[in-house]
Amino acid sequence: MKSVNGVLSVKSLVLAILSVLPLVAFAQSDDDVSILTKPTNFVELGLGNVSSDSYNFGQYNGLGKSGIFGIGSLGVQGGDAYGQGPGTRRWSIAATNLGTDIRAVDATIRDQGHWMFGLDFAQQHHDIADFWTPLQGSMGGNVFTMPEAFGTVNTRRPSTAIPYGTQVLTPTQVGYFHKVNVHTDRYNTGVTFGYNFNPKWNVQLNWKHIEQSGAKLISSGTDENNTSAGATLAGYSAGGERIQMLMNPTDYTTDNIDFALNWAGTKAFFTAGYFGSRFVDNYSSVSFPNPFDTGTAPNGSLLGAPYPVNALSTPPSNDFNQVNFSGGYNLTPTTHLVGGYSYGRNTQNMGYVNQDQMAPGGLPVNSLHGLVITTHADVKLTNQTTKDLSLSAGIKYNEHDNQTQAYTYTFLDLGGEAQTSFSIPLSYKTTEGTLDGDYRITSGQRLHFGYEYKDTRRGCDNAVPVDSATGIPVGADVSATNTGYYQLVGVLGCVAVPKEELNKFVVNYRANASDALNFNAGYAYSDRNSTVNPAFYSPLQANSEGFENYNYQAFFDGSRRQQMLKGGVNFQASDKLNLSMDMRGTKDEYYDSVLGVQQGKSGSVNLDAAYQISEKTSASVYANWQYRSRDMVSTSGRNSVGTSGLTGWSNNLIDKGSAFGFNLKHDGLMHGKLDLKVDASYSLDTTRYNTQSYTTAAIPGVTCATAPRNSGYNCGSTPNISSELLRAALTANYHIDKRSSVAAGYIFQKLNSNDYYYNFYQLGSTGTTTMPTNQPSPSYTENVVFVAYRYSFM
Amino acid sequence: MHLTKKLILGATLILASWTVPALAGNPPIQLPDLGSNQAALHQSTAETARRALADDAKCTRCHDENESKPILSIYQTPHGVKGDARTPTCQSCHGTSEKHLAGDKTGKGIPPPDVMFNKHDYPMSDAGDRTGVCLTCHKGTQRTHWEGSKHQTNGLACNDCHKVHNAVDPVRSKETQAAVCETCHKDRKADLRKISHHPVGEGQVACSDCHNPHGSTGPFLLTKATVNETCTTCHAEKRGPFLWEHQPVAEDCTNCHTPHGSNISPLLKSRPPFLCAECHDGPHNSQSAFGPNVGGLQSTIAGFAASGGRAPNPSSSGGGRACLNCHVMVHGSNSPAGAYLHR
Repeated sequence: MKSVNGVLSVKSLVLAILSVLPLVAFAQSDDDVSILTKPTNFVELGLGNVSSDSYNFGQYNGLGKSGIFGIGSLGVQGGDAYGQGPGTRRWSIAATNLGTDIRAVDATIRDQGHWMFGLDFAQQHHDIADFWTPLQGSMGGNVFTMPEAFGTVNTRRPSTAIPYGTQVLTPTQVGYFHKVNVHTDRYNTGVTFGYNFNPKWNVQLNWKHIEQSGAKLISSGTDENNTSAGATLAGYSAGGERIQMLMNPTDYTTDNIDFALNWAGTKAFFTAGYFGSRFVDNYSSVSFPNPFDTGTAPNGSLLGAPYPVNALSTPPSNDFNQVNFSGGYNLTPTTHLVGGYSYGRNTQNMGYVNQDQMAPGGLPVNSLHGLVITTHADVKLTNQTTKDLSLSAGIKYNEHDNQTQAYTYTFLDLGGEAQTSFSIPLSYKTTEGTLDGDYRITSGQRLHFGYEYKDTRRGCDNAVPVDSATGIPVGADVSATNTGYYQLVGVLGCVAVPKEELNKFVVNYRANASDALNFNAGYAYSDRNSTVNPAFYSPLQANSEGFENYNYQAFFDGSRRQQMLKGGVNFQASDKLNLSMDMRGTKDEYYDSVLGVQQGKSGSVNLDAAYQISEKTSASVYANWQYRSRDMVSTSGRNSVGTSGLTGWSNNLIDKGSAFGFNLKHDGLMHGKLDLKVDASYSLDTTRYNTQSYTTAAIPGVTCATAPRNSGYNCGSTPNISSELLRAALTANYHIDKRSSVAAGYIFQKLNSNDYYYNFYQLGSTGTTTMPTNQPSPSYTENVVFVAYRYSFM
Repeated sequence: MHLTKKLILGATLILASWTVPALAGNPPIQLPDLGSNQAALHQSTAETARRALADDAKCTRCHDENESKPILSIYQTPHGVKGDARTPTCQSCHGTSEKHLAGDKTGKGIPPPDVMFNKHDYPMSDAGDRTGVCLTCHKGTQRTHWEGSKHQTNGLACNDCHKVHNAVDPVRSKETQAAVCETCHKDRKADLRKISHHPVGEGQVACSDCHNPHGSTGPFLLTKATVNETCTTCHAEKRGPFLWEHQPVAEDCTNCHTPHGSNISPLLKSRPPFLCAECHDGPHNSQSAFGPNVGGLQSTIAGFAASGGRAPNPSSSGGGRACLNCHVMVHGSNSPAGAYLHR
């Protein structure tokens, strides 16, 4: 009965609105000038239908569930400043997607030149995955339990070669798996205010409040140490590094405030601002059970005690407060100076969780007292003494100074072994200088040239504690090889690349060969030279499992030579036909990286054509091709201080994409009452990895099959990761009269996804220590129809 | 007069001689003086509007509702609020255009207006002239870094993106902005339609949420000074500071993510474990490479037996989420037991 009343009330509201609207409309003039100078208001109501459930189709559009959905939108504006009126006040209310969970509403009122006030709300729904789990607990919550009768999963390798572990769950265990649609919802509420004190001074304030609920998927390793006495007595032997997927809650609140005081004079302007951001995570941890057993009991054996409970931390609540200043001054009518400065403090002091996973005495403090100071300064001088030449020179400085105190933490790893790590709050700063010039060679030709220098420094405010006798970090679990690693240099640093210098040169040429033909071309060359610290300390490699091979260089801070070439042409073949083409290619070489990424290439080509077939008919087509590759080498000898005598392998990534689209629009059919629009697009993206063994001088002739610890499964190509998307949409808009129209349409969308990622989590196909999730491929075929009535009025 | 006072007076006069000309210099186009037009400010809004419309009428008596482009729709925009003394007239932007107003005096046709924003019956004005008109009023704030910016040096003018006569400027609407940007940024158009993308096409995120096309101090015309400051405006849970940091994350989100779109979810440049291997040699299993084995179970039970029980078992370090099966806190961990980013 309640729902019937609800429906009636909605109907009543709609009827009430529709009954009033014609009165409003008829009270207004709608001659040709008024139509142009006054806003057209509208109300739109309708229905649509989605043919089938698909988390991927509905990823962001709110149409993830099959069945009927509502269409509702609204746009109403008014005030005495419309229609060439004498006033300065305007207001508006706009609402979209009211029938789905991506609805948005905003309202604004302003007295132009004096003040404005706005409110807005938007919901963002993000469908992430359909996911099967035996864990009990609500999506969005932070406590998960396992039904007691699920029993254990024995991951001990049997003596004979048969599937085991999570590959052969019992029917009872499989019966506990249930489907969860994992998604997040964001509710964004905004307030905007502006006030003009006078024509020179004004203030602006924006506040955005974001409430997020739901969950994302996260994986988890289990803790061997975390067993209860009861479980131990029952013969349960917990397994480390056993994997379960969890629904990681996103119960977040974010508040962002932007305030600015602006002044603008004839020759100068200035802004003083404040940006504040507060992030609150309403959970500090996620707890989950460990059903994995490395003993001999078969799958499904019941524990004599509740499951050991494990916990993950969640993102910590934090604050960011920043003051900003920027301004500009016209030194002369042709020489301008602009600059800015900002100072920010990012703090975080959330209480530590997982304290039961610490070794005795291993927790030096109960929270981080984290503090990062960010500083930015910039200044730029531009000059255009003549129309033919403009010049600019600028300097920028950015610093990320992590002043957080560092401590030594001794904890139990996933295997239950005590480990000691020293925290490394990373600091870095960049100084960048640019020189640019733009020269007009002739009225139709321009040449741009630029130079950039960038200096990057990294370091830590806190020195790593080192044993003075051995030169080894205190508490580090070192083998003889590791000892050699640390002793490569006299002073132990905390980063692999403490210094980078980049020099970049750019030249671009643009030409208008005629009114109808113009083209451009450009080339850029840059060289990033990195100073490498061969023996740096990182918490991730504080034990013997973690050491990188000497000479293994991360791509993002290794020395790199980069070249870019681009070009484009636009041809207005006639008043009706426009053609364009552009292309771009890059090449990266990591010339100092013995191991790691060696080189990368990318390229793209775009073709476009737009044709105005008649006054009422237009069409356009586009095509895009993209190509990207990356080559990398690694070796088989971990923890080595050299590469001699090692066998290794190469890995090549090839990423290709192609996309085609077609658009046709025809207005004025059926005596001017019907407009038609057709959109169609097709895209195919593929990613593939290929691994091959390579031979070092010390061990010639090694192949994938013969390389130590390699097998046929280690070499060769992965299956292609491909996404093929076809979309076609037909929309018809029929104008019943000046005020009423009906829009109807059909959308066909099909995704063929072939992705080996999903194989790994299917029941029976997982690794033996990974709980299946049976996540389905995102492929779908969707048919969507819709019809909506729009009433317009002035 | 004491010498000190003379020096101070002298210095003041020198400074004044420098400053006054700079402050008093003429803008390139004579707009209503927004800063000092006190007479206009003290008029009633009705009188202000009447005068402004009278000025506009010099143009709208010919360029009326019959134009092929809806030029009168500008009266629906902030530029059409004539009661606001700051609002420009047609001539504020198009120039006084006296020759054009005088008509065809030479028999060679009507001369063009002083500033043409589009190629129509007359050639389009230089990008610098078109932009200069707008910057006369729209100075500072978002436009502070326009001069020397990528778009400026590539020859763009404001009206190449903005349609100031339209009732709704497409580039200022979240739903339609991307189509404007994609006119030139065609690779991004393809990226935003990939299987993993930011919801730009769905109208929930606009290009301008991250980028300031008028110029900025950040890379890629980002709204903030750094990539991470920009990303953490919305993704504040990644901001930290964390007890255990991951260097590439702390420095630049785009080390691993490609924000417009990717074939690898979520917006990744590459798929783990290969992505991780671009910096790490895969410590646990660095003695064996990752290849087809990341693709899951690929062997029959017979093959499984023949391999001694190893071949068909995909490695938990390489399959599915690969390294992230255990190193789950890749953005940083605040657990005191999280040095290996496990918790």
